[in-house]
Amino acid sequence: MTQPFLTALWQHLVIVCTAVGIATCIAVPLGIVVSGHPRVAGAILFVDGVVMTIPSVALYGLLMPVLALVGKGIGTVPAVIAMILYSQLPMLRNTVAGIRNVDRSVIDAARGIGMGKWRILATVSLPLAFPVIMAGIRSSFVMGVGVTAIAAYIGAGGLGMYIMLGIANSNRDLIVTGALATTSLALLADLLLGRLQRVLERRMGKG
Amino acid sequence: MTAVEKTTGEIRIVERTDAAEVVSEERPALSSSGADVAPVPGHDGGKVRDGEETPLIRFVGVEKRYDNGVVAVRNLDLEVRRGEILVLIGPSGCGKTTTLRMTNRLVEPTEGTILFDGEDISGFDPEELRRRMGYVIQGIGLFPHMSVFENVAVVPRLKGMKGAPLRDTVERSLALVGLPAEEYARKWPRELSGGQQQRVGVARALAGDPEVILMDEPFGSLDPLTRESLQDELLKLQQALGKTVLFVTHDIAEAMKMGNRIAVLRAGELVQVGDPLSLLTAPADSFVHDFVGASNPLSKFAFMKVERVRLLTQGLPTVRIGETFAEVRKAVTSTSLIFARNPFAYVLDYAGRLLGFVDAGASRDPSMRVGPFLRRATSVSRNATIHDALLIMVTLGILNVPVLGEDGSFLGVLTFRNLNSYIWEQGEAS
Repeated sequence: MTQPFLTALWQHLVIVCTAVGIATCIAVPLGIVVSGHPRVAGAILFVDGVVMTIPSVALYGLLMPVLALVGKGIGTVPAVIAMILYSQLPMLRNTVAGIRNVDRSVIDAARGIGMGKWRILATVSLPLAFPVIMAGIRSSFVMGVGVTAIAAYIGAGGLGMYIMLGIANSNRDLIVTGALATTSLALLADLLLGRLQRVLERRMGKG
Repeated sequence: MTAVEKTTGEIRIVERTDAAEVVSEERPALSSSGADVAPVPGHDGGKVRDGEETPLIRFVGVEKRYDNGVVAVRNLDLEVRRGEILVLIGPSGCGKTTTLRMTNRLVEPTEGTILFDGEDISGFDPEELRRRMGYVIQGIGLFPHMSVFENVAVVPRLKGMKGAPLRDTVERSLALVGLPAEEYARKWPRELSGGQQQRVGVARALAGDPEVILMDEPFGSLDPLTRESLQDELLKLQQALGKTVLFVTHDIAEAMKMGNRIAVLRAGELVQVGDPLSLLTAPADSFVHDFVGASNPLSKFAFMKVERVRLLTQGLPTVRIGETFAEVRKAVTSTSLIFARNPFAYVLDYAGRLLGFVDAGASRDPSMRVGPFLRRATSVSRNATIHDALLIMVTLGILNVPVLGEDGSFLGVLTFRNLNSYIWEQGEAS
């Protein structure tokens, strides 16, 4: 009983962590670049908003024929790719908002005393936007834990397996196990990431 | 009449610097009246007076037209001289901030050239240029995630300073603005009051040892009392360091107080530039006349500094803190000071600082020490304006206001009679 559960948990975590990791590497730099261009940012956020409205099962269905071309129509790969797409919106939106909401006079002062664009970004804008960016990563992660539960239907494994099997066999205990495990994982992840955020903030001098 | 005769013993704390040469560069129409006003003494007078010295900053036919067709600044010709405080003033939208921001290339002019130390600034790397110019803004703009030390250290670090010299520079800059490093260096900006935050803002601008400090309504968001004390300290600092300052404000009282010269702008055009008195006595047009408040006879006191008036320094009724009423009685009978009501004596400590005053009638016992009867005395700093001093005399109903140096030392007493003669002399001269 324990062994399959741990395997499912591990699969679940691998999918979410990989996806959030890759998504962060895309969304945060993209957000930084487009934050200076409100129109581009608006367009990208709109597209991401549309992607968010596609039900996850449908997205898996859409990805399947495309990824089948490279022999990855089912399993972990489509699960990770779908989640990367879903994660974009909260991360991008928060990165753009975080950077844009840095007090204008602080940026003006930074420019006025002779700091360059990249130095301002690295030492002023990003540290100040960090809590907002981090909040985007947290909500992506929590959302990802939920979305990934459905990835069991495309053979990606994970905690969704319990729910899927429970439904198929009319086994309420299995459904509850899967649901509870998924929810707990989401809450625990949020808690731990919150802790991490505070530690990093303190290190950056906002304690 | 004795008091008047005795005033021959007074000394002038500060000699006037000769303003004639400064003013000769102005429009001829202003020189007759402008000649009475010297730049605030203590400025780098030698450089200012030297006609061959290139101005530190020079605007030549500068224009800023935005993409939407709005012209923020039109055909501006203006000089900022070494060691002066030049105030840019005008109603909102007059182009004063744009002018300031063109100076450090935060805004690029669409036409004309700006020379810094004789060189066209368009040839400078903008960041290098800005590091040679301090920058202080109304929003203060301290980095909220950095300690006071880190904030002040930014520019020296950009200039490649580190280690002990960096620490020294930061500590010195903080000391200059009255924030001892031991107490404030580790604090966060949010732990400071608005006034203290802007002091850090000024320290940050000073830390890079800039050749000029650009200030955009630096005290605009502070309460009146804090604003006044920061103005006083900036004047003091500027006199001590001889830094050139380009100062933007919309507050005419602030302009009169801070400016050696004032440039009045309206709708992107320079209407008049001159020292405060020349704007009041020879305004270029009705706009300047109304703007500077030339019709208000009290306006001209808003920039005249107390230190320009002869202070009474001899024969004052003073006692030391440890002395007794016997000395008080002696002091009040031998003094040349004219009391408004009851005689009193100023009480000084042994370092010569003013502690307060005691009423001569407070105790009948000549062996009684003055300490328990000490009362607070209202005083002004030597950087205060005559307007401030008059206000104190009129509102408190007193004839004599003690004047203190920067360190709190007792410099003398501004008497109503001396103020009166000074005002009369000013009137005769113009």
